[in-house]
Amino acid sequence: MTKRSYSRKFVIGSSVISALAMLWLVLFCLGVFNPVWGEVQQLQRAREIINRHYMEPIDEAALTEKLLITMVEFLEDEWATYLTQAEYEEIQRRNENRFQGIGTRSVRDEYTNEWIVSETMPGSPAEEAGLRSGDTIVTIEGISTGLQTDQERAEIISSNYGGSVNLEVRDLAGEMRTVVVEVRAFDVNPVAFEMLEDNIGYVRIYNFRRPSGRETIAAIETLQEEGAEGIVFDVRNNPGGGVNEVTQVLDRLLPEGEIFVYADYAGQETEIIYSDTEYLDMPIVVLINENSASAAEYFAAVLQEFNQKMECDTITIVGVQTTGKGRSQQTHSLPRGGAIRLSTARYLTPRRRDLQEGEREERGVRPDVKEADEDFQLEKAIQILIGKLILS
Amino acid sequence: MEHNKRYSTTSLIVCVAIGVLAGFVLSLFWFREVHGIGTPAWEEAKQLQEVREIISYSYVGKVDETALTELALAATVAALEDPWSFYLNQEQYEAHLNSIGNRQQGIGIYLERDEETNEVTVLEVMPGSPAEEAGLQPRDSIVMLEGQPTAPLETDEVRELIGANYGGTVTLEVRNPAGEMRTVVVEVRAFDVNPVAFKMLEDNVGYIRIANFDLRSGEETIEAIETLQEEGAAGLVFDVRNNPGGRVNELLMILDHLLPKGELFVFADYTGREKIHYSGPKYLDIPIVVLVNEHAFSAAEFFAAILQETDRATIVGMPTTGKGRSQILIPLTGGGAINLSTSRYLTPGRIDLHEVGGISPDVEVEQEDGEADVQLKRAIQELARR
Repeated sequence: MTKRSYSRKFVIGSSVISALAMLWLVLFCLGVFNPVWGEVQQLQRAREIINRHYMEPIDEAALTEKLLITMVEFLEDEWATYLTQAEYEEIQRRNENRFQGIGTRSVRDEYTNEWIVSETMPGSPAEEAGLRSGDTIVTIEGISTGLQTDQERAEIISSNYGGSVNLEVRDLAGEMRTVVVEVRAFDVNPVAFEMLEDNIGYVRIYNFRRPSGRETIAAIETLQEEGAEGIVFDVRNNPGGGVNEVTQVLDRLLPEGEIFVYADYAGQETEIIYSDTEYLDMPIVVLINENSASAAEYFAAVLQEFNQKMECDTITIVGVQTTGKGRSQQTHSLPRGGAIRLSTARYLTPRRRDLQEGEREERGVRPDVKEADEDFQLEKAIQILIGKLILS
Repeated sequence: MEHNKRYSTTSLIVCVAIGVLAGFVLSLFWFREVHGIGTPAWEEAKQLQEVREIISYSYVGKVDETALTELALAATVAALEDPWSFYLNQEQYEAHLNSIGNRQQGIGIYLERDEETNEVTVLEVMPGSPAEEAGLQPRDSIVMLEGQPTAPLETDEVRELIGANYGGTVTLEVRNPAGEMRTVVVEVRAFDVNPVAFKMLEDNVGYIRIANFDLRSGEETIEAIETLQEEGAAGLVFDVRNNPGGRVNELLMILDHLLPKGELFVFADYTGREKIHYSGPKYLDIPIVVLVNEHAFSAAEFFAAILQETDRATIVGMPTTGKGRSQILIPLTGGGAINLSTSRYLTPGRIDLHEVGGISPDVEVEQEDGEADVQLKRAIQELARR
């Protein structure tokens, strides 16, 4: 076997080429060849100048935070925000329908300034501990609530995270009791349902965050087993949520066809999500209002379009015109903490409607049956369903 | 025959490995040196880069990257919350350079629309301007500009049309108040503006108006003082009303001329470390009154403050607002500049004008718009008292 051998030129040449390749590779990995690099360099030089010459030391992190807020505002994206690390964590939990604390909503007493529980969240430690709406919390950990600011109260509770807080509570009858409430994370079911009279199922979807898809389908199945002949889906005040969740529900309700269309800013379609053949064969009413946004109004829009396309009359949208939001957002965490949330895609209905296009009054979903009276919307929905059930 | 040395595969691999290593080390070294990897500024830059990449790749809309950078630069400086620090884009920077150099661009006239004739009329001609050289006078009406009637144009449009001929000339058809028409050719160029004006008033009172402390204000003020002294001035009124301030060295040149040996000006950093400027032994032994008002800032306030502190002058007018921060103008490599507060400054009595909120005149005199100059009148009286 002959040994291979190389000339000096070849050896030196390959060494130099590999050195340059490595140089390029490292710089590439550091992002030097990215067009954004030059822009960032410009900013960094300004930062260096300020650091070196400004008359006082600078709080770098605060400066960056202010800068990020301004940059996000520049995008003219009404759904974009900068989030601090705490806000980001809060949002992450919220996206999972997870909360931290004791799980009460409360108001101040007009005269004593004490905290009155207005609602205990289902599944929360407060509910477990037996707190009820109307209870007055007189002290938290021995400190009178009438003398506390909102922030002080939040701090006392969060500082006991993982443990519990002692509350002195006065109920509506005026009787005092001591309640020990755990402070922890807890899950709240975004879906509630019940069977109404005349075999009408009622499904309330508070938001389309996880696990609303699974829970809604479970609710539909339970109601079907109990003999439901029509269902009211209530998405009033539903701020939206994830695409996965809403498409999961739409897939269950509708036969084969398009149920979600992603598009870029130029209107070019980038991805389409389809429904399978399985569907729910019963009359449906969807309740909407002006606070139904994003996934919630999209949900109503797709069902409305399906009904129009099929020229059938199984689905009716009742209530008030919705918000009109047609951008989906992503939240990106940042290396130094915090996050930015910005619109990363447009979405269109199967009939290629952008819910956010046009003037305010053209946006969103318009109900088939308008009912502005909040207290009468559900009743109207039930009437419509009963009418359909009799006809069929 | 030349003997070519041959190398084995092993040596090739070793050499390539050394090359790779060298490239790696070289790039990191370059990075460290040039971009300060690992420094706090670098950490912040990484954070920004991440955001820019996210916006650039993920955002659903179109983004003007250059505009975003410009905005970010402005926001960075604004975040300091220092009223005297600001970002200038290239265009603003050039205008600012002209302004602090006491240079103007154009032909050097102020225009207004005559209410009666509705014609574009010269309100004022700047001294030393091409318009002055070409013989333009206040109250002249500009009827035609480059053959185009000015009647349908706004004064701003006229200004823009003139500016469009920068580096050349404009031809104007002008009517004077007597109704005589003439053609005037005026150069459109940069010209120096004298920030100092002076005259001898009655009773040998020398009056010097310093419009700003920018370029040439020092030498021009000293020249004005010397000329007035030669003409027999018995006292001087320095008018720094509406003077926005300017450069420290121009200010010091004047103060050095006015004040005896001693401290003149104290720079102080945030830790309290001082850098002091001193006056030479020569000084001006003549009564002085300084006119100030609420629109006198920075060097102008300081000028009044030190003369008050050393009891070299009586201060007449209205209290100033108080600026005690000095700035430098730093150009950025990619265009534009940052005007940045770099230091506090104190009077020799260690007073921070920013902290005390400006200076209080010895004699407070309010000036109503449109009425005779009562402040100057009072200044002359005070000068007689000194």
